[in-house]
Amino acid sequence: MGTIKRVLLAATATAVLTVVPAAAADANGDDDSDEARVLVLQAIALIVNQPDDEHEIEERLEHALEATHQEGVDLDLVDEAAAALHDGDHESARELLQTSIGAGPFVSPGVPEPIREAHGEPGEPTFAVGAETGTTVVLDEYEPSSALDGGNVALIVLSAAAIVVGALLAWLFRPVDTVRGLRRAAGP
Amino acid sequence: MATTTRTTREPGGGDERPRWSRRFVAAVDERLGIDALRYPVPEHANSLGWSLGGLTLASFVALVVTGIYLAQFYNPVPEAANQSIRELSDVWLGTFARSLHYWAAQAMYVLVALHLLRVIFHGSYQRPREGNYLVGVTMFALVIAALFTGTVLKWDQEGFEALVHNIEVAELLGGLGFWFTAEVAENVSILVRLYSAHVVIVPGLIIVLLILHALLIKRHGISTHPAIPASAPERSEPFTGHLRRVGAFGLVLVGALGVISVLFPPAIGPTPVEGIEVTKPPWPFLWMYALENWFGLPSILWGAGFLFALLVLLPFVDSGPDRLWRRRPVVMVIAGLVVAALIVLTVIALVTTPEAHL
Repeated sequence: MGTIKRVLLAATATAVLTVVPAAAADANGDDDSDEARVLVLQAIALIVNQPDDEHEIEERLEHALEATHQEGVDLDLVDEAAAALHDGDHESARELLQTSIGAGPFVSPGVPEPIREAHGEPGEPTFAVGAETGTTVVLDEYEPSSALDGGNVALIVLSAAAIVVGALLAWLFRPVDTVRGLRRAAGP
Repeated sequence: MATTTRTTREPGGGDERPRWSRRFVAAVDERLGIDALRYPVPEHANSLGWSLGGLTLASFVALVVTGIYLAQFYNPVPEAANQSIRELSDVWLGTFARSLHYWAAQAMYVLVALHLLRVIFHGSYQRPREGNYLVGVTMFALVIAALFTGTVLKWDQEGFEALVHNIEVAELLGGLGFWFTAEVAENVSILVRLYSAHVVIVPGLIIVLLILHALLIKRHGISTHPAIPASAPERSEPFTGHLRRVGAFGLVLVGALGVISVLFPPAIGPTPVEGIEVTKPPWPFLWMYALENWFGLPSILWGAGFLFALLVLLPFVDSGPDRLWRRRPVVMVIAGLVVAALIVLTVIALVTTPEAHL
Protein backbone atom coordinates (compact mmCIF):
# COMPACT_ATOMS: atom_id res chain seq x y z
CA MET A 1 0.00 0.00 0.00
CA GLY A 2 1.39 3.41 -0.96
CA THR A 3 2.21 6.09 1.57
CA ILE A 4 -0.60 8.35 0.38
CA LYS A 5 -3.14 5.54 0.69
CA ARG A 6 -1.96 4.77 4.18
CA VAL A 7 -2.25 8.45 5.19
CA LEU A 8 -5.76 8.66 3.70
CA LEU A 9 -6.80 5.47 5.48
CA ALA A 10 -5.45 6.77 8.79
CA ALA A 11 -7.24 10.10 8.31
CA THR A 12 -10.53 8.34 7.51
CA ALA A 13 -10.20 6.08 10.54
CA THR A 14 -9.48 9.08 12.76
CA ALA A 15 -12.50 10.91 11.34
CA VAL A 16 -14.76 7.96 12.04
CA LEU A 17 -13.34 7.58 15.54
CA THR A 18 -13.89 11.24 16.36
CA VAL A 19 -17.07 12.22 14.52
CA VAL A 20 -19.16 9.12 15.22
CA PRO A 21 -18.78 9.23 19.02
CA ALA A 22 -19.54 12.95 18.91
CA ALA A 23 -22.72 12.32 16.95
CA ALA A 24 -23.68 9.60 19.39
CA ALA A 25 -23.07 11.95 22.28
CA ASP A 26 -25.24 14.61 20.67
CA ALA A 27 -27.97 12.05 20.16
CA ASN A 28 -28.17 11.55 23.93
CA GLY A 29 -29.92 14.92 24.08
CA ASP A 30 -30.70 16.70 27.35
CA ASP A 31 -28.52 15.52 30.23
CA ASP A 32 -29.85 17.68 33.09
CA SER A 33 -29.04 16.39 36.51
CA ASP A 34 -31.77 14.66 38.53
CA GLU A 35 -30.25 15.87 41.81
CA ALA A 36 -31.92 18.92 43.34
CA ARG A 37 -28.67 19.95 45.04
CA VAL A 38 -26.75 20.05 41.76
CA LEU A 39 -29.53 21.99 40.06
CA VAL A 40 -29.66 24.54 42.90
CA LEU A 41 -25.89 25.01 42.63
CA GLN A 42 -26.25 25.52 38.87
CA ALA A 43 -28.98 28.11 39.47
CA ILE A 44 -26.70 29.98 41.90
CA ALA A 45 -23.84 29.83 39.40
CA LEU A 46 -26.10 31.26 36.70
CA ILE A 47 -27.16 34.08 39.03
CA VAL A 48 -23.46 34.86 39.57
CA ASN A 49 -22.29 34.42 35.97
CA GLN A 50 -25.32 35.30 33.85
CA PRO A 51 -27.81 37.21 36.03
CA ASP A 52 -29.73 38.44 32.97
CA ASP A 53 -30.62 34.93 31.85
CA GLU A 54 -33.61 34.62 34.19
CA HIS A 55 -35.37 32.03 32.05
CA GLU A 56 -32.46 29.61 32.43
CA ILE A 57 -32.24 30.23 36.19
CA GLU A 58 -35.99 29.70 36.70
CA GLU A 59 -35.83 26.51 34.66
CA ARG A 60 -33.11 25.08 36.93
CA LEU A 61 -35.19 25.89 40.01
CA GLU A 62 -38.27 24.25 38.51
CA HIS A 63 -36.22 21.14 37.73
CA ALA A 64 -34.80 21.18 41.27
CA LEU A 65 -38.31 21.27 42.76
CA GLU A 66 -39.30 18.31 40.59
CA ALA A 67 -36.01 16.40 40.86
CA THR A 68 -35.93 12.70 41.68
CA HIS A 69 -33.23 13.12 44.33
CA GLN A 70 -34.02 15.93 46.75
CA GLU A 71 -31.77 14.91 49.67
CA GLY A 72 -29.91 17.73 51.46
CA VAL A 73 -32.05 20.51 49.98
CA ASP A 74 -34.67 22.59 51.77
CA LEU A 75 -37.24 22.82 48.98
CA ASP A 76 -39.35 25.40 50.81
CA LEU A 77 -36.39 27.77 50.61
CA VAL A 78 -35.96 26.94 46.92
CA ASP A 79 -39.61 27.85 46.43
CA GLU A 80 -39.06 31.15 48.25
CA ALA A 81 -35.97 31.77 46.12
CA ALA A 82 -38.00 31.22 42.95
CA ALA A 83 -40.53 33.81 44.16
CA ALA A 84 -37.72 36.27 45.00
CA LEU A 85 -36.23 35.72 41.58
CA HIS A 86 -39.60 36.34 40.00
CA ASP A 87 -39.70 39.68 41.87
CA GLY A 88 -36.27 40.54 40.48
CA ASP A 89 -34.52 40.22 43.84
CA HIS A 90 -31.43 38.28 42.81
CA GLU A 91 -29.59 38.91 46.06
CA SER A 92 -32.30 37.34 48.22
CA ALA A 93 -32.79 34.51 45.75
CA ARG A 94 -29.08 33.70 45.86
CA GLU A 95 -28.96 33.81 49.66
CA LEU A 96 -32.03 31.60 49.98
CA LEU A 97 -30.59 29.10 47.54
CA GLN A 98 -27.25 29.00 49.35
CA THR A 99 -29.09 28.42 52.61
CA SER A 100 -31.30 25.76 51.04
CA ILE A 101 -28.24 23.57 50.53
CA GLY A 102 -26.73 24.46 53.90
CA ALA A 103 -24.05 26.73 52.51
CA GLY A 104 -25.23 30.02 53.95
CA PRO A 105 -22.41 31.22 56.19
CA PHE A 106 -20.41 32.40 53.21
CA VAL A 107 -23.06 34.91 52.21
CA SER A 108 -24.52 35.89 55.60
CA PRO A 109 -23.83 35.07 59.24
CA GLY A 110 -26.08 33.07 61.51
CA VAL A 111 -27.34 30.43 59.10
CA PRO A 112 -26.52 26.71 59.13
CA GLU A 113 -23.00 25.35 58.78
CA PRO A 114 -22.00 24.43 55.24
CA ILE A 115 -22.34 20.80 54.33
CA ARG A 116 -20.02 18.97 51.96
CA GLU A 117 -21.13 16.64 49.28
CA ALA A 118 -20.64 13.04 50.39
CA HIS A 119 -19.29 10.42 47.99
CA GLY A 120 -19.74 6.69 48.29
CA GLU A 121 -20.16 4.66 51.43
CA PRO A 122 -19.33 5.73 55.02
CA GLY A 123 -15.63 5.60 55.61
CA GLU A 124 -14.81 6.51 52.03
CA PRO A 125 -13.27 9.88 51.16
CA THR A 126 -15.70 12.80 51.09
CA PHE A 127 -13.50 15.18 49.14
CA ALA A 128 -13.90 15.82 45.44
CA VAL A 129 -12.41 13.22 43.11
CA GLY A 130 -12.22 12.79 39.34
CA ALA A 131 -13.69 15.79 37.59
CA GLU A 132 -15.92 16.91 40.47
CA THR A 133 -15.81 20.60 41.27
CA GLY A 134 -15.89 20.35 45.08
CA THR A 135 -17.89 23.57 45.07
CA THR A 136 -20.27 24.05 47.97
CA VAL A 137 -20.59 27.82 47.70
CA VAL A 138 -20.52 29.86 44.51
CA LEU A 139 -18.29 32.83 45.21
CA ASP A 140 -18.45 36.06 43.22
CA GLU A 141 -15.69 36.98 40.82
CA TYR A 142 -12.81 38.53 42.75
CA GLU A 143 -10.81 41.43 41.37
CA PRO A 144 -7.59 42.14 43.27
CA SER A 145 -6.92 45.76 44.07
CA SER A 146 -4.79 47.74 41.65
CA ALA A 147 -4.84 50.85 43.81
CA LEU A 148 -1.57 52.76 43.79
CA ASP A 149 -0.54 52.33 47.42
CA GLY A 150 3.07 52.59 48.58
CA GLY A 151 3.96 49.01 47.69
CA ASN A 152 2.52 49.22 44.20
CA VAL A 153 4.23 52.55 43.53
CA ALA A 154 7.56 51.00 44.60
CA LEU A 155 6.96 48.07 42.23
CA ILE A 156 6.18 50.41 39.36
CA VAL A 157 9.30 52.46 40.05
CA LEU A 158 11.46 49.31 40.14
CA SER A 159 9.86 48.02 36.94
CA ALA A 160 10.35 51.36 35.20
CA ALA A 161 13.99 51.34 36.29
CA ALA A 162 14.37 47.86 34.77
CA ILE A 163 12.91 49.16 31.49
CA VAL A 164 15.27 52.14 31.39
CA VAL A 165 18.40 50.14 32.34
CA GLY A 166 17.46 47.35 29.92
CA ALA A 167 16.87 49.79 27.08
CA LEU A 168 20.21 51.52 27.75
CA LEU A 169 22.06 48.21 27.81
CA ALA A 170 20.30 47.05 24.63
CA TRP A 171 21.41 50.27 22.93
CA LEU A 172 24.94 49.88 24.28
CA PHE A 173 25.18 46.27 23.06
CA ARG A 174 23.51 46.96 19.70
CA PRO A 175 24.99 45.30 16.58
CA VAL A 176 27.67 47.25 14.81
CA ASP A 177 26.03 46.69 11.43
CA THR A 178 22.42 46.62 10.33
CA VAL A 179 21.02 44.10 7.85
CA ARG A 180 20.36 46.92 5.40
CA GLY A 181 23.90 48.22 5.84
CA LEU A 182 25.38 44.79 5.19
CA ARG A 183 23.32 44.36 2.04
CA ARG A 184 24.50 47.73 0.82
CA ALA A 185 28.11 46.91 1.67
CA ALA A 186 27.85 43.68 -0.33
CA GLY A 187 26.98 45.72 -3.41
CA PRO A 188 24.50 44.90 -6.20
CA MET B 1 21.34 53.21 7.46
CA ALA B 2 25.01 53.07 6.63
CA THR B 3 27.42 50.77 8.36
CA THR B 4 28.60 52.36 11.58
CA THR B 5 32.20 52.68 12.61
CA ARG B 6 32.02 51.33 16.15
CA THR B 7 34.76 49.04 17.41
CA THR B 8 34.67 45.55 15.97
CA ARG B 9 34.30 42.77 18.49
CA GLU B 10 35.81 39.47 17.45
CA PRO B 11 35.54 36.28 19.46
CA GLY B 12 38.85 35.50 20.99
CA GLY B 13 40.18 38.79 19.70
CA GLY B 14 41.49 41.63 21.86
CA ASP B 15 39.90 41.04 25.24
CA GLU B 16 39.08 44.43 26.79
CA ARG B 17 37.79 43.06 30.08
CA PRO B 18 39.53 44.11 33.31
CA ARG B 19 42.25 41.78 34.52
CA TRP B 20 40.28 40.63 37.60
CA SER B 21 37.34 39.77 35.35
CA ARG B 22 39.51 37.72 33.00
CA ARG B 23 41.08 35.84 35.91
CA PHE B 24 37.69 35.14 37.45
CA VAL B 25 36.21 33.85 34.18
CA ALA B 26 39.35 31.78 33.57
CA ALA B 27 39.05 30.22 37.03
CA VAL B 28 35.38 29.38 36.52
CA ASP B 29 36.03 28.16 32.97
CA GLU B 30 38.75 25.82 34.15
CA ARG B 31 36.17 24.10 36.38
CA LEU B 32 32.89 24.46 34.44
CA GLY B 33 33.96 24.96 30.83
CA ILE B 34 31.83 28.11 30.37
CA ASP B 35 34.16 29.33 27.62
CA ALA B 36 32.31 26.90 25.38
CA LEU B 37 29.57 29.55 25.29
CA ARG B 38 31.87 31.92 23.43
CA TYR B 39 31.32 30.25 20.09
CA PRO B 40 30.86 32.67 17.20
CA VAL B 41 27.42 33.71 15.99
CA PRO B 42 26.61 36.10 13.13
CA GLU B 43 26.00 39.66 14.19
CA HIS B 44 22.44 39.79 12.84
CA ALA B 45 21.50 37.39 15.65
CA ASN B 46 21.63 40.38 17.99
CA SER B 47 18.67 42.10 16.35
CA LEU B 48 15.33 42.07 18.17
CA GLY B 49 13.71 39.74 15.64
CA TRP B 50 16.42 37.13 16.08
CA SER B 51 16.33 37.49 19.87
CA LEU B 52 12.68 36.39 20.22
CA GLY B 53 13.70 32.89 21.28
CA GLY B 54 15.89 34.37 24.01
CA LEU B 55 13.03 36.63 25.10
CA THR B 56 10.76 33.59 25.30
CA LEU B 57 13.34 32.12 27.65
CA ALA B 58 13.32 35.34 29.71
CA SER B 59 9.55 35.07 30.18
CA PHE B 60 9.95 31.39 31.05
CA VAL B 61 12.45 32.32 33.78
CA ALA B 62 9.96 34.88 35.14
CA LEU B 63 7.30 32.16 35.12
CA VAL B 64 9.50 29.69 36.99
CA VAL B 65 10.47 32.23 39.67
CA THR B 66 6.91 33.46 40.28
CA GLY B 67 5.58 29.91 39.95
CA ILE B 68 7.85 28.64 42.73
CA TYR B 69 6.62 31.47 44.95
CA LEU B 70 2.94 30.85 44.13
CA ALA B 71 3.33 27.12 44.76
CA GLN B 72 3.97 27.90 48.45
CA PHE B 73 0.42 29.21 48.83
CA TYR B 74 -1.67 27.42 46.21
CA ASN B 75 -3.80 24.53 47.46
CA PRO B 76 -4.46 22.13 44.56
CA VAL B 77 -7.58 20.43 45.90
CA PRO B 78 -10.92 21.34 44.36
CA GLU B 79 -12.53 22.49 47.60
CA ALA B 80 -9.76 24.99 48.33
CA ALA B 81 -8.01 25.89 45.05
CA ASN B 82 -10.09 28.94 44.09
CA GLN B 83 -10.08 30.27 47.65
CA SER B 84 -6.32 29.83 48.01
CA ILE B 85 -5.81 32.10 44.99
CA ARG B 86 -8.09 34.74 46.50
CA GLU B 87 -6.06 34.57 49.71
CA LEU B 88 -2.90 35.55 47.81
CA SER B 89 -4.08 39.11 48.46
CA ASP B 90 -3.12 38.54 52.10
CA VAL B 91 0.36 37.29 51.20
CA TRP B 92 3.38 39.57 50.79
CA LEU B 93 3.67 40.27 47.04
CA GLY B 94 1.08 37.53 46.45
CA THR B 95 -1.14 39.53 44.09
CA PHE B 96 1.90 40.87 42.24
CA ALA B 97 3.47 37.42 41.90
CA ARG B 98 0.27 35.94 40.47
CA SER B 99 -0.22 38.91 38.17
CA LEU B 100 3.37 38.70 36.92
CA HIS B 101 2.94 34.94 36.41
CA TYR B 102 -0.23 35.57 34.40
CA TRP B 103 1.25 38.30 32.22
CA ALA B 104 4.54 36.46 31.72
CA ALA B 105 2.50 33.50 30.46
CA GLN B 106 0.73 35.74 27.93
CA ALA B 107 4.11 37.16 26.91
CA MET B 108 5.65 33.72 26.53
CA TYR B 109 2.82 32.58 24.26
CA VAL B 110 3.09 35.68 22.07
CA LEU B 111 6.90 35.57 21.96
CA VAL B 112 7.14 31.88 21.12
CA ALA B 113 4.55 32.38 18.35
CA LEU B 114 6.49 35.36 16.97
CA HIS B 115 9.74 33.37 17.19
CA LEU B 116 8.11 30.57 15.23
CA LEU B 117 6.85 33.03 12.62
CA ARG B 118 10.32 34.54 12.35
CA VAL B 119 11.79 31.08 11.77
CA ILE B 120 9.16 30.38 9.11
CA PHE B 121 9.64 33.78 7.47
CA HIS B 122 13.40 33.29 7.17
CA GLY B 123 13.24 29.57 6.35
CA SER B 124 15.48 28.82 9.31
CA TYR B 125 14.01 25.31 9.55
CA GLN B 126 15.71 24.12 6.38
CA ARG B 127 18.47 21.54 6.32
CA PRO B 128 20.25 20.78 8.59
CA ARG B 129 17.99 22.41 11.17
CA GLU B 130 14.80 20.34 10.65
CA GLY B 131 15.34 18.42 13.89
CA ASN B 132 15.87 21.53 15.96
CA TYR B 133 12.80 23.12 14.35
CA LEU B 134 10.70 20.13 15.43
CA VAL B 135 12.09 20.46 18.95
CA GLY B 136 10.91 24.08 18.84
CA VAL B 137 7.44 23.12 17.57
CA THR B 138 7.19 20.62 20.42
CA MET B 139 8.10 23.36 22.89
CA PHE B 140 5.39 25.54 21.32
CA ALA B 141 2.89 22.76 22.03
CA LEU B 142 4.19 22.52 25.60
CA VAL B 143 3.74 26.26 26.09
CA ILE B 144 0.10 25.83 25.03
CA ALA B 145 -0.19 22.92 27.47
CA ALA B 146 1.21 25.10 30.24
CA LEU B 147 -1.32 27.82 29.41
CA PHE B 148 -4.15 25.32 29.45
CA THR B 149 -3.19 23.67 32.74
CA GLY B 150 -2.61 27.09 34.31
CA THR B 151 -6.10 28.14 33.25
CA VAL B 152 -7.61 25.07 34.90
CA LEU B 153 -5.63 25.56 38.13
CA LYS B 154 -7.58 28.76 38.85
CA TRP B 155 -10.51 26.44 39.38
CA ASP B 156 -13.08 29.04 38.49
CA GLN B 157 -15.95 28.64 36.05
CA GLU B 158 -13.76 29.47 33.06
CA GLY B 159 -11.05 27.02 34.09
CA PHE B 160 -13.50 24.25 34.85
CA GLU B 161 -15.31 24.63 31.53
CA ALA B 162 -11.94 24.48 29.77
CA LEU B 163 -11.22 21.25 31.63
CA VAL B 164 -14.58 19.72 30.72
CA HIS B 165 -13.95 20.52 27.06
CA ASN B 166 -10.52 18.97 27.27
CA ILE B 167 -11.93 15.81 28.83
CA GLU B 168 -14.52 15.57 26.05
CA VAL B 169 -11.84 16.04 23.39
CA ALA B 170 -9.66 13.43 25.12
CA GLU B 171 -12.52 10.97 25.05
CA LEU B 172 -12.87 11.52 21.30
CA LEU B 173 -9.28 10.34 21.00
CA GLY B 174 -10.06 7.08 22.76
CA GLY B 175 -6.96 5.45 24.24
CA LEU B 176 -4.68 8.26 23.06
CA GLY B 177 -6.47 10.78 25.29
CA PHE B 178 -6.71 8.47 28.29
CA TRP B 179 -4.38 10.49 30.53
CA PHE B 180 -6.57 13.58 30.18
CA THR B 181 -9.71 11.87 31.45
CA ALA B 182 -10.82 11.46 35.05
CA GLU B 183 -10.80 7.67 34.69
CA VAL B 184 -7.02 7.37 35.02
CA ALA B 185 -7.15 7.72 38.80
CA GLU B 186 -10.74 7.76 39.95
CA ASN B 187 -9.95 8.50 43.59
CA VAL B 188 -7.76 11.49 42.78
CA SER B 189 -9.08 14.81 41.55
CA ILE B 190 -8.01 15.60 37.99
CA LEU B 191 -7.06 19.04 39.32
CA VAL B 192 -4.26 17.46 41.36
CA ARG B 193 -2.97 15.61 38.30
CA LEU B 194 -3.10 18.75 36.17
CA TYR B 195 -1.25 20.59 38.93
CA SER B 196 1.53 18.01 38.75
CA ALA B 197 1.58 18.48 34.97
CA HIS B 198 1.74 22.27 35.33
CA VAL B 199 4.55 22.41 37.86
CA VAL B 200 6.61 19.31 37.00
CA ILE B 201 5.84 17.52 33.74
CA VAL B 202 5.36 20.45 31.34
CA PRO B 203 8.13 22.77 32.61
CA GLY B 204 10.41 19.75 33.04
CA LEU B 205 9.92 18.76 29.42
CA ILE B 206 10.39 22.37 28.32
CA ILE B 207 13.71 22.53 30.17
CA VAL B 208 14.92 19.24 28.68
CA LEU B 209 13.95 20.35 25.16
CA LEU B 210 15.40 23.79 25.77
CA ILE B 211 18.80 22.25 26.54
CA LEU B 212 18.54 20.14 23.38
CA HIS B 213 17.46 23.24 21.41
CA ALA B 214 20.49 25.19 22.68
CA LEU B 215 22.91 22.32 21.99
CA LEU B 216 21.59 21.97 18.44
CA ILE B 217 21.91 25.71 17.90
CA LYS B 218 25.56 25.39 18.87
CA ARG B 219 25.94 22.30 16.68
CA HIS B 220 24.49 23.92 13.55
CA GLY B 221 25.14 27.56 14.37
CA ILE B 222 22.56 30.33 14.18
CA SER B 223 21.20 30.35 10.64
CA THR B 224 22.42 32.94 8.20
CA HIS B 225 20.14 35.84 7.33
CA PRO B 226 18.64 35.10 3.91
CA ALA B 227 18.62 38.80 3.02
CA ILE B 228 22.34 39.24 3.74
CA PRO B 229 24.46 38.16 0.76
CA ALA B 230 27.31 35.77 1.40
CA SER B 231 29.70 38.43 0.10
CA ALA B 232 28.63 40.91 2.80
CA PRO B 233 31.32 41.68 5.40
CA GLU B 234 29.23 40.51 8.35
CA ARG B 235 31.12 40.26 11.62
CA SER B 236 30.70 37.49 14.14
CA GLU B 237 30.17 37.87 17.87
CA PRO B 238 30.71 35.43 20.71
CA PHE B 239 27.45 33.78 21.77
CA THR B 240 27.94 35.39 25.17
CA GLY B 241 27.52 38.75 23.43
CA HIS B 242 24.18 37.55 22.08
CA LEU B 243 23.18 36.44 25.59
CA ARG B 244 24.16 39.87 26.90
CA ARG B 245 21.85 41.64 24.46
CA VAL B 246 19.04 39.15 25.08
CA GLY B 247 19.51 39.86 28.78
CA ALA B 248 19.11 43.58 28.12
CA PHE B 249 15.93 42.97 26.10
CA GLY B 250 14.76 40.61 28.85
CA LEU B 251 15.20 43.34 31.45
CA VAL B 252 12.95 45.62 29.39
CA LEU B 253 10.43 42.80 29.04
CA VAL B 254 10.34 42.01 32.76
CA GLY B 255 10.08 45.70 33.60
CA ALA B 256 7.14 46.14 31.23
CA LEU B 257 5.47 43.04 32.62
CA GLY B 258 6.02 44.41 36.13
CA VAL B 259 4.21 47.66 35.33
CA ILE B 260 1.35 45.82 33.62
CA SER B 261 1.13 43.38 36.55
CA VAL B 262 0.65 46.16 39.07
CA LEU B 263 -1.90 48.05 37.00
CA PHE B 264 -3.90 45.09 35.66
CA PRO B 265 -3.95 42.18 38.11
CA PRO B 266 -6.04 39.29 36.71
CA ALA B 267 -9.37 38.53 38.34
CA ILE B 268 -10.35 35.12 39.66
CA GLY B 269 -13.79 33.95 38.55
CA PRO B 270 -16.61 32.40 40.57
CA THR B 271 -16.10 28.93 42.06
CA PRO B 272 -17.03 26.37 39.39
CA VAL B 273 -20.29 24.50 39.01
CA GLU B 274 -20.68 21.65 36.58
CA GLY B 275 -23.53 21.37 34.11
CA ILE B 276 -23.50 24.96 32.86
CA GLU B 277 -21.52 26.70 30.10
CA VAL B 278 -21.35 30.43 30.60
CA THR B 279 -17.76 31.41 29.81
CA LYS B 280 -15.41 31.61 26.86
CA PRO B 281 -11.84 30.28 26.96
CA PRO B 282 -8.76 32.51 27.37
CA TRP B 283 -7.83 34.36 24.19
CA PRO B 284 -5.14 31.92 22.93
CA PHE B 285 -7.89 29.26 22.63
CA LEU B 286 -10.63 31.49 21.22
CA TRP B 287 -10.04 30.41 17.61
CA MET B 288 -10.86 26.85 18.61
CA TYR B 289 -13.98 28.10 20.38
CA ALA B 290 -15.19 29.72 17.14
CA LEU B 291 -14.64 26.42 15.31
CA GLU B 292 -16.57 24.58 18.01
CA ASN B 293 -19.48 27.00 17.69
CA TRP B 294 -19.75 26.16 14.00
CA PHE B 295 -18.71 22.53 13.67
CA GLY B 296 -19.00 21.02 17.13
CA LEU B 297 -16.52 19.57 19.58
CA PRO B 298 -14.44 17.40 17.17
CA SER B 299 -13.45 20.55 15.27
CA ILE B 300 -11.22 21.53 18.22
CA LEU B 301 -9.27 18.36 17.60
CA TRP B 302 -9.21 18.77 13.85
CA GLY B 303 -8.28 22.46 14.01
CA ALA B 304 -5.37 21.93 16.38
CA GLY B 305 -4.30 18.78 14.53
CA PHE B 306 -4.32 20.59 11.19
CA LEU B 307 -2.25 23.49 12.56
CA PHE B 308 0.41 21.23 14.06
CA ALA B 309 0.44 18.93 11.02
CA LEU B 310 1.27 21.96 8.87
CA LEU B 311 4.02 23.00 11.26
CA VAL B 312 5.54 19.52 11.42
CA LEU B 313 5.42 18.96 7.65
CA LEU B 314 6.82 22.37 6.77
CA PRO B 315 10.58 21.61 6.74
CA PHE B 316 10.03 18.46 4.67
CA VAL B 317 7.84 20.20 2.08
CA ASP B 318 9.88 23.40 1.86
CA SER B 319 13.33 21.84 1.93
CA GLY B 320 15.20 24.60 0.18
CA PRO B 321 17.53 25.80 -1.03
CA ASP B 322 15.84 29.23 -1.28
CA ARG B 323 15.23 30.90 2.06
CA LEU B 324 14.35 34.42 0.99
CA TRP B 325 10.62 34.94 1.54
CA ARG B 326 10.06 36.30 -1.96
CA ARG B 327 11.26 33.04 -3.45
CA ARG B 328 8.93 30.91 -1.31
CA PRO B 329 5.51 32.31 -2.30
CA VAL B 330 3.55 29.12 -1.54
CA VAL B 331 4.83 28.88 2.03
CA MET B 332 4.34 32.60 2.59
CA VAL B 333 0.76 32.53 1.26
CA ILE B 334 -0.18 29.47 3.33
CA ALA B 335 1.43 30.92 6.47
CA GLY B 336 -0.32 34.24 5.87
CA LEU B 337 -3.68 32.53 5.40
CA VAL B 338 -3.26 30.46 8.56
CA VAL B 339 -2.31 33.50 10.64
CA ALA B 340 -5.20 35.51 9.16
CA ALA B 341 -7.63 32.66 9.85
CA LEU B 342 -6.48 32.39 13.46
CA ILE B 343 -6.90 36.14 13.97
CA VAL B 344 -10.34 36.28 12.29
CA LEU B 345 -11.60 33.24 14.25
CA THR B 346 -10.32 34.80 17.49
CA VAL B 347 -12.10 38.09 16.79
CA ILE B 348 -15.33 36.28 15.86
CA ALA B 349 -15.23 34.27 19.09
CA LEU B 350 -14.47 37.44 21.02
CA VAL B 351 -17.62 39.21 19.88
CA THR B 352 -20.02 36.25 20.19
CA THR B 353 -21.90 35.40 23.37
CA PRO B 354 -20.97 32.17 25.18
CA GLU B 355 -22.78 29.08 23.93
CA ALA B 356 -23.43 25.70 25.50
CA HIS B 357 -21.74 22.90 23.54
CA LEU B 358 -21.68 19.87 25.80
